[in-house]
Amino acid sequence: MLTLALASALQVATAAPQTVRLEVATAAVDPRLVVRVDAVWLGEARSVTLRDDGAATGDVAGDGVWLGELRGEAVSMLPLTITVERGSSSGVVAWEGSEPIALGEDHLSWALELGDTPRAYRVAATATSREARGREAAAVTAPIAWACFVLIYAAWLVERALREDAP
Amino acid sequence: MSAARWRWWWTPLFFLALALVWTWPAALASGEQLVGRHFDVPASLWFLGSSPRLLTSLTDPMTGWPDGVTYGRPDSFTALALGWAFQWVHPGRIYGLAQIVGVAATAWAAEAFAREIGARAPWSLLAGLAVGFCGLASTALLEGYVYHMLAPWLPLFALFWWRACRGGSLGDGLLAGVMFSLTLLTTAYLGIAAAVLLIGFAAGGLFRREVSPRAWAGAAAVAVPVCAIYAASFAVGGGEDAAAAAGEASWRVSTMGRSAHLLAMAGPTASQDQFAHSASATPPIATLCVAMVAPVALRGLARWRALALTGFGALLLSMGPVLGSPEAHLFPLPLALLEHLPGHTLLRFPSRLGWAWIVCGGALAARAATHIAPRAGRPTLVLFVFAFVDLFVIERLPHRQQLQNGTTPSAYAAHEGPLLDLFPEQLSRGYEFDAWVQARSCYHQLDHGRPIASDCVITRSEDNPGWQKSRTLNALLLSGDAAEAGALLRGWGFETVALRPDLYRSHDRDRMLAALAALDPEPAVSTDGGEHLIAYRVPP
Repeated sequence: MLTLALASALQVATAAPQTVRLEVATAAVDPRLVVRVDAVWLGEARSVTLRDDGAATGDVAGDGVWLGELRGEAVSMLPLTITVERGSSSGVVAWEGSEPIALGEDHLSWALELGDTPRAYRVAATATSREARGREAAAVTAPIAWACFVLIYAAWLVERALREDAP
Repeated sequence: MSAARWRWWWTPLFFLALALVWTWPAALASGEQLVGRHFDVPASLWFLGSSPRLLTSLTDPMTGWPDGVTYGRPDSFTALALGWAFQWVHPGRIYGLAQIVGVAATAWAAEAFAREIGARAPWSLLAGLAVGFCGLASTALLEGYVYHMLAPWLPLFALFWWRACRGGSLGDGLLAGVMFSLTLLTTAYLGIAAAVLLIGFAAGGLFRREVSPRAWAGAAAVAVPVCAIYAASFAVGGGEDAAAAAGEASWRVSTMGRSAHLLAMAGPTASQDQFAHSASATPPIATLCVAMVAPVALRGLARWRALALTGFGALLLSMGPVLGSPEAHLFPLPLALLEHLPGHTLLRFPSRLGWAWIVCGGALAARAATHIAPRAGRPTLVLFVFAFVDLFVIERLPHRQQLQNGTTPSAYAAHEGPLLDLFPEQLSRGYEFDAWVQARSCYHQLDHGRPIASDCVITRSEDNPGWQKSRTLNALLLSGDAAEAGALLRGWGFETVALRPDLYRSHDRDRMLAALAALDPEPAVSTDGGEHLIAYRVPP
């Protein structure tokens, strides 16, 4: 039974199509903004316009986080170009490069800084650069707070044990 | 649960079950799906899969074509032996199983060491949870250095060397020597961590005048010859010394980022997974806290001070040469003393010395919990809850783990003979890109079995013969000089040149395709294996 379950899981994992979620976050919300991602997926040119209209699962319309998705056969390395258009101006390439892709499902995130020349930077999670810094700080401080709590508990245990030992 | 009711075989079963969950989906690893986040995964798989060849001669004609490469400093002799012993199994599967068994075996060995110094089950399990499932272990699994987890030898060395320093027998000494040798042969960093334990426990034994000369002689009889052979191999092996190349002046700064600095110990962040090879030195917090109160809990008892002091010393060493930031060095730490020794730049990852303090800290915490539990009662059991929080909430495995595509593009099979993989140069995070494509090029060799141009261990792109040849060919092909490119390929003895056109910018791609079409107008094309690959036959 276990072997069958493992074999089934193995098959599902192998046969599953590749999904790459694309996320671009901006601090300044601009309704004229158009964010497009061009990719070459196993020799085939693909293009997706990212949206911030709340249509995607978990998306909040107008929050400055632009989402899109690419799907297809399994791909190991994906070349991507992010182009940004504002109003009638022509598109500006904000980022280009190739990214390794995890098998099955992966997500790629960028922080987009708008200015005279928009530039995007790879980040670990969908967030504006300020939010990302906050999350990183929380990820660091939470274990420190946890350690303080555990230390107090351990000290209480020792105190309790010593009290038992006391004549 | 009292010690009397605990059955010995529950311990390995417990660790094996927990390792299965914590390393998930390692149990499903195969040649099609590789388990790990970073480029060292395919590189390590190449190492495992090529071990039958490398064990016969560390000079490998199948890589670095046409000159070959001498791998005089293999990352792990133990991994070589493992790959050789299981050569009938795909390296992807060996790699996955090694993650599970390695974690469980290391945890079990650490638990045994804790029992040696006075802990009793189930509290001794705290030591196993600390060592087998610590931040350094998660880094090894995510980054792709599975052989760091093939190290039950380190806690076993601690066990037998502890005995040898406390009036042990000749057999204890011999076993300590064997375990030290196996630790060193598993990785040099673990060998250095074992040396820290060696010095600390020996000092404790000398102080208490409990040293057994017979045991020490036994340990030396085994370990000294192995160390001498290892050092000789290391010295003549050559290979890269990136830290030395970067300059001694930068050693302090470069090692600070690879030390158990306070941020690295605070907990892994998403950015570390994305940009820093998942490198974290997060300690097992529950264990650390119990170890911190152990001096109070164990006051008046014997045989724990050498353990505590050795662990503390190892922790200081793992924190690197200075305390501070790259901008402000607050004050030097003990590791800074190494700067006066030749070859100190080879020590690039001080955080890995943290294995020594976790072995000591885990055993100390387990002994303290054993002493506290009968007096403090059931609230002591909450320590296990804390330990599980460390594993699954702080370390966040298996959530952080990923799968990689392990299928080899079929176009490689269209021709025979030596082949050259062509890759573009990427400016943004170029080091990462180069390492990824070179590692995958090496990994695919396990399947196609043809000589390739890459050096499969070196990490600096500029020193990799595969990268150098690809760069030269790119320049010729982009300039449209297909005839000169063909002559060069023939001169090197390559019979196939493999292009991944998607990775080139569109205008470069068009020029590369046009030039290579002059070599072979009907190349083999494949889009399986997660890569769009075009293999051109080099005309004779």
